[in-house]
Amino acid sequence: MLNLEVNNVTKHFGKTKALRGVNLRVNEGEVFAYIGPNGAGKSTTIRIMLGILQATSGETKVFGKDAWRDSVEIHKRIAYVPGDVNLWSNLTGGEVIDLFISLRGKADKARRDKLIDAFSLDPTKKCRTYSKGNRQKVALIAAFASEADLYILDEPTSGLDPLMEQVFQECVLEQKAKGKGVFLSSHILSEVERLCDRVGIIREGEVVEAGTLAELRHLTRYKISAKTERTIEGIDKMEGIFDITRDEGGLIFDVERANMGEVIAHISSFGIISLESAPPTLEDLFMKHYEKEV
Amino acid sequence: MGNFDNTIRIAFFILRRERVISAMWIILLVAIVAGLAAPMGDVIEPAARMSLGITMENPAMVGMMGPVYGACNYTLGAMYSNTMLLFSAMAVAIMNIFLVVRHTRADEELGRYEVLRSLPVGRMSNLGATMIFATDLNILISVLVGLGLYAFGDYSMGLNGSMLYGAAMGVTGLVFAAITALFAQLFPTSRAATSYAFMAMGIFYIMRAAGDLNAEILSLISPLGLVLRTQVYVNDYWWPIFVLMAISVVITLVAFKLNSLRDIDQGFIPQRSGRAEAKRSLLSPFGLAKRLLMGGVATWVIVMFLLGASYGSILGDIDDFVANNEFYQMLLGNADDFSFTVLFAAMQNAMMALIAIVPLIIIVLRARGEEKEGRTEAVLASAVKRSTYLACFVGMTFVASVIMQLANTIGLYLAAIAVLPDPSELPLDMLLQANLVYLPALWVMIGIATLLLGASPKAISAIWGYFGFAFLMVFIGRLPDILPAWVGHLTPFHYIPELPMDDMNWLSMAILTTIAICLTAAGFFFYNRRDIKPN
Repeated sequence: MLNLEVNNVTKHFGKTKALRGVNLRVNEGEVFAYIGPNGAGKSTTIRIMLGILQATSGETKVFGKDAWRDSVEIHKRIAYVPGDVNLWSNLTGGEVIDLFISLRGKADKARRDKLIDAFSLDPTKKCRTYSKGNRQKVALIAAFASEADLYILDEPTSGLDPLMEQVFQECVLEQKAKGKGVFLSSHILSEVERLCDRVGIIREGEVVEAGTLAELRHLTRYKISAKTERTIEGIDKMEGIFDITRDEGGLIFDVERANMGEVIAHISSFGIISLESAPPTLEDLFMKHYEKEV
Repeated sequence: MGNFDNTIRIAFFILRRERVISAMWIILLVAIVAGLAAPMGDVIEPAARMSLGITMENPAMVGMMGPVYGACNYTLGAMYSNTMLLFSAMAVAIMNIFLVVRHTRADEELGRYEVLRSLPVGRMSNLGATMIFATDLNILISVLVGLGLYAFGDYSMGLNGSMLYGAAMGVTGLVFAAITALFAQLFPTSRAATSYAFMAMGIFYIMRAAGDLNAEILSLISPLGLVLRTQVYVNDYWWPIFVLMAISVVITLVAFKLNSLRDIDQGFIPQRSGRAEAKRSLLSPFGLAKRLLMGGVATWVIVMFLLGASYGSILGDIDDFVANNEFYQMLLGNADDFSFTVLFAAMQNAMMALIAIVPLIIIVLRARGEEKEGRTEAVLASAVKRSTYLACFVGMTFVASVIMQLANTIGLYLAAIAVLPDPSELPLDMLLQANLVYLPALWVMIGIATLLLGASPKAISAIWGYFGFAFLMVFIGRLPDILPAWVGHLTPFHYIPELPMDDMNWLSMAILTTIAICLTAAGFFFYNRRDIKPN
């Protein structure tokens, strides 16, 4: 069963094309990371999923229902944490939490109090006195205290300290264990690596890559460091080789996964002394997509 | 390092930041205060002025505007300082409250002060620079107002008196700058500092009103009472200016002392903590809207009541006054069957109805403000229908429209029965009818605002333009032959019968109400179909 289905969605703001045909599939019970550079269209996609913005074209379905037309029905089963949490300055954090929980559905008081405790928030303070991190805590507590089937979180931890980041990750894993879906837009790679089943990367309004982390890793280059008896010749003419540097008695270079076999075969003819290959780090993976020129 | 290092440079930095806002205040204050003398002199002729002097001595007017000096020789200058000085001084006070909070507690709250303090500046430099700037600004306004009034050239408004008028404004500003500087140390938020400074102004105003009516000492303790003891253009006493200056210096010194004692971001009066859990009444879209809007609506109800009461309080002597004033006779029109009292009350109804639009527009604009701040998005992302959400705000405007009209009618009525020789001249049911008959016009304005919110949220401020147009039309429309008649037909107010002079016109009531409903419904239609976004 699909929790979320985004088919060829475009969104234009005047002349600006914020989304140029986004496609996403998120399965039930899956934690999905949505990543991309600032201004790539992450928040716009999320707002279309929520029926706050209307797509220029394309189709967005949440729980199999139309995101624009049936938004209220969908929202009964969704909890959302916006990227920029703005709260009412003259309401206390506790009041805002209760308000959001009740607007979504029924309240679980014990769970609310437990979360307030876990995030160590003072709910009696007026929202105007909260820092960015504390405002995010308010939104996160309100979201996780609600009984939802899908949690949509737009960069929810950008203002949290590492300790609170830990609490947040536990909350997500708890929902995952219960079989709930989570749609997480994030820049924090360790968070994505730890929590997410699948990743979608958006760049300039298009999803350029989607899949499990393992799958995505296959798409990138490995770093090879080789030492041989004789000097390696002719490798710069081979396909799929990048960033060659000569080291004492050896070579360091990047190689496309597809060309790995023939490159190794070529090198071995020079008498291998040592050979190390490192998979791409997440940073490499993301940087490849974040940089303008791939 | 000294406590005041780089104070002067910060003062120039404040000047740079203030160049637009403070310039606007200067222009506005000087233009209004110095500019109103001429039209007032033209409109109120000497004979009418003498009767106005007598009107001003009735307790309601003394309570509102202060004691009358020189009533037996009510010159233009005496009339001007009597009717204008208190409000001019309060306007300067308001400017100073905003100015000082902006550069002290608000900067601190936003973290700008911290950045400034990380530079080689003294502990008190920022407060010092703010007070230097405020002092200079007040002196500048004093001099400009003084020269402006003197330039008007009436024999009763000499150089000494005019400069005293300016000084009275400036020194009131200084006192409130000092009080605000003090409150900015005491309270940890800019909002608290601002509201308590306004509350202090309100208390001083009430003390002065009570003092002017029957306990002189209260007026002398209140800066707003003391400043009127200058008796500008009558006896021209300068001593209250010096007393107020000394008071402002003392308060400023206390503020500096407190500033040196406290830590950044802290105050002496801690922020009260609120509820850890919401009351049930908050937990719905309507509960939220009520919570957000109630404070403003309540304040406006009081304002409308007081406005009604203040107009009611002059009804007692209105027959005399208008009988001597051709301009007002033209404004009120001629209707032989009705006394000037009734005509005047009817004109006030039109004006009060116009003013009642302001809070209604503010409520609709608040819905847009919530959207701009990203809070609408958060609410609509929960299981709340758009139309429900919008209905909470728009519904509140319709309720508020009735409340506002009732508040000003009751205010007018209560004051009128106190001052009218024959209270039966203005029966309550007649006043209510004459006032509530404006509701369909208010609803049309709500409808237009709602339509703008739905169809063209970026242009929603245009509603103020239309409001300004309607306001002008209600006045200019009363003067013959200024504009072609059809221009006046472009506001809903044109179609409202002026009771009791006109006959009730149920048809135009029904048409206006229908238009209002259609506009509102169109607003909902577009709101349900558009993007919710901050810009």
